[in-house]
Amino acid sequence: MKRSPKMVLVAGAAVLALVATGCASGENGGQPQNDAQGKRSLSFMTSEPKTIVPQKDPGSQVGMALCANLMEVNVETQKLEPLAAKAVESEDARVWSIELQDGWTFHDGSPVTAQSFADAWNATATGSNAWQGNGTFVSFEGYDELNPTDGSEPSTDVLSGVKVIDETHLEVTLKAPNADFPKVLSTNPTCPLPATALEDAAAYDEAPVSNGPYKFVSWDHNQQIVLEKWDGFKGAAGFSGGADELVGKVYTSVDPAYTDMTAGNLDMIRNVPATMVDKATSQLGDKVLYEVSIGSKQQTLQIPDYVDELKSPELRKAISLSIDRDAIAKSLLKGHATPSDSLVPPALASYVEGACSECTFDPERAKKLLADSGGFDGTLIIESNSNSDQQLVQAVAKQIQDNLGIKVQQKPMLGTELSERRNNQKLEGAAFGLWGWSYMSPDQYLSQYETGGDGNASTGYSNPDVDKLLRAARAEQDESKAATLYRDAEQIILKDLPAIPLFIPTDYGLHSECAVMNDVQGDLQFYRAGYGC
Amino acid sequence: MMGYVLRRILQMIPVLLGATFIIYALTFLMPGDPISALTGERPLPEATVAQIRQAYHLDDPFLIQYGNYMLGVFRGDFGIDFFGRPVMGLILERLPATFALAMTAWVLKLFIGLIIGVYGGLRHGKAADHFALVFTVLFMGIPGFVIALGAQTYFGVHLGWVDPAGVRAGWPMAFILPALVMAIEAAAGLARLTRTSLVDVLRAEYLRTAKAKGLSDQRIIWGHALRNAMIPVVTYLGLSLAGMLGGAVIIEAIFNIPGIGGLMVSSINNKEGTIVVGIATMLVLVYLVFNLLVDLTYGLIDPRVRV
Repeated sequence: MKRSPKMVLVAGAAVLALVATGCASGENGGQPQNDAQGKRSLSFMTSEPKTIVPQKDPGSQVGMALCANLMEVNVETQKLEPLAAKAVESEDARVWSIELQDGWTFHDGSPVTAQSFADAWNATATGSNAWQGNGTFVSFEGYDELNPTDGSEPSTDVLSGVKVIDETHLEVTLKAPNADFPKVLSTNPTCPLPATALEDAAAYDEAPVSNGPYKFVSWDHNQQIVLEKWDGFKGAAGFSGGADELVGKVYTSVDPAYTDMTAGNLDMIRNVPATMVDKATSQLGDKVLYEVSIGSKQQTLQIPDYVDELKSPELRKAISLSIDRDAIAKSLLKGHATPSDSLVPPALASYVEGACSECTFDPERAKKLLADSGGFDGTLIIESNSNSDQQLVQAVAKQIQDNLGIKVQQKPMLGTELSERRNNQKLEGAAFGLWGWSYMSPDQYLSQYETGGDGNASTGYSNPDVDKLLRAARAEQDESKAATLYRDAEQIILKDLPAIPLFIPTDYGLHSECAVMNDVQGDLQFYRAGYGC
Repeated sequence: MMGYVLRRILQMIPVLLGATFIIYALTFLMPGDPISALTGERPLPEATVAQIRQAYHLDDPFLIQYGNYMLGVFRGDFGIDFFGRPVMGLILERLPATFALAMTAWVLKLFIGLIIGVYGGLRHGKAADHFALVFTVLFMGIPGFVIALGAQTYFGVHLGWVDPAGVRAGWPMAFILPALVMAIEAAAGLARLTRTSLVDVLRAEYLRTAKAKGLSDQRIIWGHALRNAMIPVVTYLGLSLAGMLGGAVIIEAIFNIPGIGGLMVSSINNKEGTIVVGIATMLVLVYLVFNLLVDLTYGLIDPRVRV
């Protein structure tokens, strides 16, 4: 057995050889491209997208960079301005005339016409296509014909409410007046599609051609997506960004992305979890943190109308008064959220400070209201998504239990199950909810309390007075008058408190030295970032 | 021999049928609605939901859904996900990364584990053997993700030898560190098994006979001891390769390797049944094939089990 040391040597050499040849082959092969000197390139974190076509995934950061909407918020002015449109106007907020910019083209040089928009809208609004942007068109005349509720084939393939007048003019008729329509036109499902997109959908999915500030270069699945600044873009600087090249690096989760950023391989991360914020600032310094200027999201405790034990407004108010929001915001959330005292976030025009008078912490009054409501001897169930906010729900549940002296039970479940229970009215108690706006308008929040409105399934709240006020507010083109109407509606809803406002979470982004982050009305978009090196 | 292989392949069919049925039934029974998962809290209009459910036959009874699925599978069609992309394509997109990671890890493990194991076995009871024991106990004791995170921070961030989450660097730079972490952990088990097996064989009477016959040390170790000691090791190696192909979820997540494991986890969360069943079927198939290969290898090493 004297031979054994030699055997080890031979085997060891084999390992070395394997590693060595491996290294050698790697140098010719898949090394990351070294940017040529002077190329202003920024990378951002993305998960492997299911699709980068904006109509199919309205939240896609890549889709946003590729497309120029008719209306868009300008980063420099922070105001909604026409982009691909010259003007969007209406007398009655129901019939809208849209005039397009002259001479705009898609990345491939084909002209952007009124038909490019109409084709895209018709396809998106067709239910059987099952595109996620479909819901955007629910307010258009003719939507119902394209989306039969019994699952049958629609009898038509165009929205009757969309008329192409000529090359550069469109007319849109809505089911009911909506002064927010120009804001709707700033959302991604309303992007135009070139004719080629509908002729060969599969090819378009892999290499989309649009009209936005960045054009598609390549998509290396599960690795990266490369976009390049398009020199044919005619919009103002406030609608674009500072990088010549944008690279969406694909990560399976935010943790490896963060590690890659600490190693200097990644420039931007958005929707940073609160737990990562403190870690990042202590490891990388305060300058890497970008705090989004406006809180666009809200966490609430939704109370379904169909849960009979929780019907009493006094009981709901008692629950609300028993939660010490300040304490939770300071300790558990470490200041990365502010207590909410209204059914809308403070940034919205209709917000009034302290609109919800029962959204303070007052255990004495809470107990009194509980007694007034006739007491509660059941168990308050709080259903929530097990993948997010578990500690927060726990803290809220404990506050209610301790301060009100009622039994509270948490029921965490998978997101898919919670959505199913919510949408099919199968909740057994309160549910922890997170809501955000697609565009900045009180309607985006208060529609949750309108019969059949966007997000109404969570509570099933229905009140004819509220419905009437919201309809009137939507029809009002004067913003301050509309705000008053929204405010009135909120006051009525608050009497029944179908959702208990909890917190406005603060949104954060992390960025490298070269990436100068910004946000448009609370929405951090990677492609708008400036280049600061 | 051919008959044996053919028989084994035919046996795979009922196993595959049973496995897909159980997995399909389990995903079907999972709570939650896949359509709801598409858009989160902002539900799709009822009409759209109805259209999608119709298109994917989600309202059919379980057996009909399963029957439709299996008919498709026999035609080579593994179905599509809720964005209309073919499931086979999604799996094939992810497979190279998983395969590269598992193979690299397996080869590294083979070398590390066998070297330590054989060395320890040949010198059992001596200092080197104790050192090998300490090494294996240490790496079997520390949880894999701790080693992974530690190695990632040290070699990836502090030393900067490899990208800490850089699948873009391609093979081998992106795979060497995660594979090494997987290999070291798995090698500990392999080394223990090899050592024990070798020590047992070295005590066997036929080796004493061989020595008495005057055979050289080399002949005894290579021709007799190792060959017999390798039988349990080969079983372990074969099945562990199959296991590595399917079970690297945590390593994949930490090092950002876009493999099968991550796809499986996200599909379970989103209740994307066709993807879950597709991956599971593929993994069952891989396991069965490797099992067959292991059984065939026995024949090569040990004439007694040759069929």
